Amino acid sequence: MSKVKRRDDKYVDKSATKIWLEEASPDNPYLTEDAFCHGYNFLDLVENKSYSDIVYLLFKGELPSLESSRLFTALMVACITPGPRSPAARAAVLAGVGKTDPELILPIALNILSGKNGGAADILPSMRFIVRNVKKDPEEIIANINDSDGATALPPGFAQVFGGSDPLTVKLGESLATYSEASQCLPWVLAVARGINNGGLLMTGLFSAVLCDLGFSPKVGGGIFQICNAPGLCAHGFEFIGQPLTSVPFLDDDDYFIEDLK
Amino acid sequence: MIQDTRFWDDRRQKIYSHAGGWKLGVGAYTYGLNLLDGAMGQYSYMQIHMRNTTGKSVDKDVAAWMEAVFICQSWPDARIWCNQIGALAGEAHCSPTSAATAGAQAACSEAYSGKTIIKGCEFMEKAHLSYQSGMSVEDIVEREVASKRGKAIIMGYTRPIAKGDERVSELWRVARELGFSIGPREKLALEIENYLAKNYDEWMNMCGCVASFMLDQGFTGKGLFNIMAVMAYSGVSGCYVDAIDRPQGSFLPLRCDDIIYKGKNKRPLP
Repeated sequence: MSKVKRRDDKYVDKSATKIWLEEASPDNPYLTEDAFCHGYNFLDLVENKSYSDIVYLLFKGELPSLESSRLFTALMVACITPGPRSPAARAAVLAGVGKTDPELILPIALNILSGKNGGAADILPSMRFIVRNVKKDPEEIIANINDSDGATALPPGFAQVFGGSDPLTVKLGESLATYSEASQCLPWVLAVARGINNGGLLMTGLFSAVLCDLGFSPKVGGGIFQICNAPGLCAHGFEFIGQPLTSVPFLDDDDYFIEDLK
Repeated sequence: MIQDTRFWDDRRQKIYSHAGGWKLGVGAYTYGLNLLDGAMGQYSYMQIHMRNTTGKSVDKDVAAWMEAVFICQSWPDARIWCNQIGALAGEAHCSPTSAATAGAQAACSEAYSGKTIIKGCEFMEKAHLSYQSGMSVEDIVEREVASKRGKAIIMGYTRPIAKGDERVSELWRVARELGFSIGPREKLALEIENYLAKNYDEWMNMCGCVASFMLDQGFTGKGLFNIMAVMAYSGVSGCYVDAIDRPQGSFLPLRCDDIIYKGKNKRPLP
C-alpha cells in the first residue's frame, strides 16, 4: 500500500482578485458599504455606463473607447441568440416545455452552448488561430487549405453548415466590419471564409475575430460568447413555460428507428 | 447554386438511434437488450449504465468493480472543489439537481476526477506498447519525466493535495476478491509505481489504477470518460444536504476583507 502523506504545497489563506473590491460596512464586516470594479466606484458605473461597457471592463480591466464600445455592443446584439434551431436553444425549449424549474433553463442551455461544434469551446482555438495567423496573407491560408484536397482540416471558426455557409452570418460579419475598430481580424477572417472551398464562416469564427480586434485574451472568449448568447437562449426556453408537452414534436414510433435491433 | 441537402432532408422529423429507445407496449431497449423483459433483477444498475455509455454488454464483476470506483469518488468532503460547489449550492438553497450536476460538471477537470482518465489511459497504452516493444520501465518513466522538464508528473501517478492514494489498495483488493487476475497493463502499472516510489517518492493514484485495470478489461479512455461522466455527484450531494439544513451563512462565511483586492487603485470615471 502506498504511503499517503500531504504534499507540502502552500495554500493561500485568502483568495485574491484584481476585479472587484468590496469595502465593509463600519457596523458589520460581512456587509458591503461600497464596491469598486477595476478601481471605478460601482455606483458611478451603474449610473453612467452601459451594460456592455461594464462587461468589457470586467474582462479587460479598462473601459472601452467610444469606438470599441460601439463595436462590442453591436457584437453582443449580433450574438444575442444562436436561434431557435440551435442545439442550445432547443435544449432550453425542451426544459421549458418539460416543466423543468425555470431557473435551470438558462444553465441547461448554456451547458449545451459549451460544445466544440459551434459553441463556446470553439472560441479559444478560433481566437488562437486568428492571433497566430492574422499577419499572413489570407491567400496563403486559403491556398494551403484548398490545395490539400481536404487533407488539411478547416481552421476552428470555419465550417459548412448544412452543406453551405450561413448567409446571415456573413451579413453580420460584413456589418460589424464597418466599425472602425474591426479593422484587422474581422476583414481577414471574412477574406479567408470567402476563399475556402467547401468552407464557411461560423458565428464562433466571426465572434472570435471581433474579440481579437478588441484585444480580448483568447482564454476569456468562450465565456463572453456564452454571456452574449444567454438572453436569447433564456427567452427561447421561457417562451415554452406553461405550454403543454404537445407544443413541441414527440415523434411516433414509426419515425424512431432503433438501428441494429433484431 | 442550389445546394444538395438530401442528407438532412432524410433526417427531418426522424431519429435514428444505435443506443435504443422505447417501443410503446413492446419494450425499452439499450443496445438490443429489452429492459422490460426480465432484465430488472438480472442486471445491476452499473451494468446498464456501462452498457448505455459504451454500447457493450458488461460482465457483472466488471460492473461491480466499477461500482467500487464510484464509491471511491463519493466522499462528502466539502474541501474538495466539486464537493464545495455542492455545499455552496446548499448554502444558496438551490435544488438538489442543480447541486449534483454543477458539482459533477466541476469534476470534469484536468486536475482531478473526470478528464484525467483520458490522459491516464493514453499514458498507460503508450507505456504498454513501449514495454511490449522492449523498453524498460526505467526508460518509460524517464521519457515521461524528461518531457515534463524533470518533474515526475505522470497522469495516473500524481495527485493534488497528497502523495499516494488510499483508494488504490482497496480497488486492487476488490479486483482480487472478484476473481480478476493481474493483467498485463496492471502489472506494468505496478512496476511503474515501484520505480516512481523508489526514485521520485510518487505513487499510483486512482486514475492509474482504473486506467490500467479497465484497459486490461478491453475498455478505452473515451469509454471510461463516458462511464465516469457524473461519477462525483454523490459526494457533491452529500455536501449539499449537509449545508442546506444549516442556518444561512453557515458555510465558509467570508467577510469583505477575506478577499484580497490586488487590482487598480480607486479612480474616477473618465
